[in-house]
Amino acid sequence: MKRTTFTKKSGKGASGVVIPGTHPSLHNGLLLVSTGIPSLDVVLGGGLPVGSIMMVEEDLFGRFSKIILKYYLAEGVMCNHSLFVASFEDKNEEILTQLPKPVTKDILTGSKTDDMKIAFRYRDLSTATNSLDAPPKYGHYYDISRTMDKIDYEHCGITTLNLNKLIRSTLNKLNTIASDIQHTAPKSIVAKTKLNIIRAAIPGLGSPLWCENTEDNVSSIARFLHALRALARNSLMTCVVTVPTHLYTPHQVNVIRHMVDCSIELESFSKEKTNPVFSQFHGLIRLKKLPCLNSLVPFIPQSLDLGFELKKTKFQIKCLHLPPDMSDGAAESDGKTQKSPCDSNTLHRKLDF
Amino acid sequence: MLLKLLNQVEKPKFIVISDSLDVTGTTLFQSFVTTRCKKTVVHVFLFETHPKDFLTSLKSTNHENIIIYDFYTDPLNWDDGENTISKSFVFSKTIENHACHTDQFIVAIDGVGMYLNNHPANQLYQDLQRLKQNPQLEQCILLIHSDEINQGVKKSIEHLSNAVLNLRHPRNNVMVCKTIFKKPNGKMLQFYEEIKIASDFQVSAMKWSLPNHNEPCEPIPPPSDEPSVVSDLSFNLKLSNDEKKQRGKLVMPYTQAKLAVKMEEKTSGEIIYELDDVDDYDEEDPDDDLDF
Repeated sequence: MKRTTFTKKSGKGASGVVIPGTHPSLHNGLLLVSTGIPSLDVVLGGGLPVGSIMMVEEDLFGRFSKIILKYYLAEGVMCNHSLFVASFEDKNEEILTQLPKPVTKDILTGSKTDDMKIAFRYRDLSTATNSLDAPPKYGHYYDISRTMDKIDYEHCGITTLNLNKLIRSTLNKLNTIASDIQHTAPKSIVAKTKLNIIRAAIPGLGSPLWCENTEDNVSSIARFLHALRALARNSLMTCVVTVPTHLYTPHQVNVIRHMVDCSIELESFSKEKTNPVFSQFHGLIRLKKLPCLNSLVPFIPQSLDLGFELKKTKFQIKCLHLPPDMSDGAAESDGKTQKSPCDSNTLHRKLDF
Repeated sequence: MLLKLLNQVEKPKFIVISDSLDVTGTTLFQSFVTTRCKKTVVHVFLFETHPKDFLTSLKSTNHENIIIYDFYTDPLNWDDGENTISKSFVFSKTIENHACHTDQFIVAIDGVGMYLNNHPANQLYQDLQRLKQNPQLEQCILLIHSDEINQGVKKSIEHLSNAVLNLRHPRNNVMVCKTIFKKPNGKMLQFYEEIKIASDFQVSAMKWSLPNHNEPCEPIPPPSDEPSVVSDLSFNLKLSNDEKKQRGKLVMPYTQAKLAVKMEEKTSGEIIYELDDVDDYDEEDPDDDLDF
């Protein structure tokens, strides 16, 4: 047997330093961190870059932005990152008790128990056709109908901050955590340094509890985000903030958007006003700003028309698609919706031959 | 839904009643106070009605549980009044100063226009938040007038609340209440109800449907038992249970071929031919009688 001179590079990277829970981006040289939602990771190009701030523009009642934040924190627990939560709620620990429970892959593939008799060659292929459905390479699956036990997150370094005293204290507290040696971005790579990521979450930034929605206050929010961004860039930190932008004018929202690296806007549907085309979705996601840290052009996902769906056990982002047109009997219904045969609800119905 | 809120079947922490010039919400506000004061102490902050008028209009109900803070008579301290909206006025502190409560209490606020004229809205939000965080507070009911306050402020107050009751007046003598109720798990429910309030503050509510609104898509009638294509055929396309079992038992041809391939691999490619009856196999070698 011929021996080649090719030697595989060791998986640890050139320097031998691995930060748990991070992976390098396939598109640019950044270090990425999973947001906890695999489909959101795909949209962002693999995950959230370390050192960036993501803003989630809240939907009208803040329900889905809270879920996104919970996934983000749960992923941090799973990767053993340090967590930091700052909010006006009295009991910050409550959000920790509501984190979704991680689900192992076995439980997921167990549903495919039918041995395919005719299409046996397809048995071992993955069922994902759309890249947004593909199983996550670096993330974890979660079940939002169940919550994480205390044992699971006890080992994480979690800091919570009640903001009723002073907002300025957020930055100070974050600064003290960030200056901890394990969180600083090292100037030179020395092997064996234990590095870790801080995941900061600030729900409800800019809500009436922080400040009134006047011009002065918008500029102070912008200043806060500017300082936060400086802190994030200088240390190994990612930050997710949720802002109720429906309370601000479009111009004010633009000012705030400039200060963050990545911004997604959630628009939830109310029951009555749903366009029948969107019957499967619970709302739309609009990418207002994509992270573009070290490059001129950000990673642009395949499709910019995205919607989200909150199933019983998971929250998923999907491409918007029209339901297939069922011409049979469409004439009678006068343009009212037909249920598509590929809809997950009707799949169980009879399509018997 | 409104009745559930009134009867405390659902207990959101912060209820906002929003009315306007067309439709007054004071009667609804008073009915909330009457239902609550039967069981718990209610601290009522009156900015827009005189306490005497308020109490007389409540008539027969038990007045023991109602503690009134009068901000109507002299809000700006012109006559050295007792309750004034001074710079340091804060709802939560006023309640704390008032002694004699170890139990749960409910706060009802008549209107915020006067407060907002003298204080920034920021202070109102933080004050309400502090009230909410008081563990002894069972519920806070706030009446706001949508044409009196800034829309931005109204939106912010509704953002902080757990239930919003919008009162509207589509026709004469008809009061419609749009209830937006935020469940603790985040889900939002919306109801439209026509309400009538009797003179003794009993409220009756009926479901009200919007007249001009397009009806939401009707649920699709379940597909008929057989798809129309198959029903008219002269032959049967369905399988009975026995036939299905037999179909399951059937071995597919390729699986046999798979087994055959496996067998061949073991015997390294030899061809084994077994003679039929018709074959005439001569053991002799026909080249034997060649003499060279």
